[in-house]
Amino acid sequence: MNYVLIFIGAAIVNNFVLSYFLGICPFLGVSTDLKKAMGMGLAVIFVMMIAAATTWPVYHKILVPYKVQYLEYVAFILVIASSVQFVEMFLRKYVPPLYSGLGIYLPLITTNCAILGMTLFMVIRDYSFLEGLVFAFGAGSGFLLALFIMAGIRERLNAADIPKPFNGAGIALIIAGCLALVFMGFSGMMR
Amino acid sequence: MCVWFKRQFQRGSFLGCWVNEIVFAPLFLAIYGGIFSLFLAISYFLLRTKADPKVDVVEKILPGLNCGACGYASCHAYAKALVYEDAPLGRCAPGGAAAAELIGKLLSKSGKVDKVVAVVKCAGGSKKKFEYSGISSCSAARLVYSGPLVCEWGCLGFGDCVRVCPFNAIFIKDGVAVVDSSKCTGCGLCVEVCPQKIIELIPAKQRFFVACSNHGKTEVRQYCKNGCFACGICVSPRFNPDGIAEMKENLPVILRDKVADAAQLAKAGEKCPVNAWKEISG
Repeated sequence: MNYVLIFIGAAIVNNFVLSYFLGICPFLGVSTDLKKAMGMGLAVIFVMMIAAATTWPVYHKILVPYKVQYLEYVAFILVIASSVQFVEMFLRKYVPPLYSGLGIYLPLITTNCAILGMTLFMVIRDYSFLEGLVFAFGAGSGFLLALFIMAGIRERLNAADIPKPFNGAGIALIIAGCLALVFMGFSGMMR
Repeated sequence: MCVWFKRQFQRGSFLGCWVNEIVFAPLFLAIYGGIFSLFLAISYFLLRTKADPKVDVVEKILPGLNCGACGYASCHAYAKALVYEDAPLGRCAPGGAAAAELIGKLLSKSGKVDKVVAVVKCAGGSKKKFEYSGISSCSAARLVYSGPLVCEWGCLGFGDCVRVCPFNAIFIKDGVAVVDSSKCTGCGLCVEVCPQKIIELIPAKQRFFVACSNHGKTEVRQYCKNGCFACGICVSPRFNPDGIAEMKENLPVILRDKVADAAQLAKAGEKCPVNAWKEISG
């Protein structure tokens, strides 16, 4: 039950994009069509899982024993970036189809604020390793969900008659705001 | 070893030297970062993929604009497809015939590069169902009762293709999009964007095409003066002795494999009562 709560909490109630406003740049940048949004969302889930799986041991097995928790930001960015780099190389060699699918998005999000934010939340909330993984999966799914909704709306916007001053980034930000308002409706569901 | 480091640090010394937190933090990060960089360096050598030099050379010949006109995600992807997947030469619009020829020589690909050009398979002339005064875009106009034309396969003339064309090869003439074949590179962006799906890429040497997409029969005459009403004279043995075209869904379809000479097509089209057979411009 705890895992389900963590998942739903991260994916919907405290959606990373629409409640915490983390990872806004890929959210606005890659939400122009559904296919790209799909690729990006899956890549985010993937990187979040890797980030959770690597930062948890780094924090609990290295930083805590040496009492250098204040180095978590640097240490996390380092471990996430290098593990993603490693996975990218690994995929390129052994799973080329997956590499060509995710490959272009992976370097874009290695040290995105949503990823780093997720790992920091995981540490602050004192999740166990498994809870951390579920949390990461939930956060990634929430990102995919937000990106997908946004991309769907923006595809329809292409045919809409938008006043000139709002065109492009303006209308995208307004929609992002409206979506965030909608997601605020979930916030009473759990703490 | 970890334990030893820990003990050293707890005693406030490291290798006998006095160490405080200010010194420890950078020291820690240096070791920590060093481990990761070493790990990455080793895995780079272990997981190195041998890039095919052929792909690199082909990629260098391509213009490197990553415009996507070839239908691949990037120049690199197209170069790879050329080398491994037998992708068609000459898809690269910016590189043009020069790049295609060079690559063809390099990969010893036989087969000449056939220039393709877009053609709009509508000559206009359909009556209107209603006056449309909404957003000036074909895709928007089409949403209203399948567009303002009686003919559902007609060019709407709001110029979605004109806007998308990077080479200014399309213009609107008398409410119908016309392709200037001398400027057209055959990138196919207009084919994608046309909501009526009436733009097609044809080999430039074929020269003739059927400028109508209406699948109706004789009723076409009631609302369009240029529409093909499937009389079939162009595919009759008299004008089409070599069988270079056949009727399919009330439209003549040119069988590209059988066309040896543009003159055959000119002959097929010469008696068309509505002049639906058109020659490309330029």
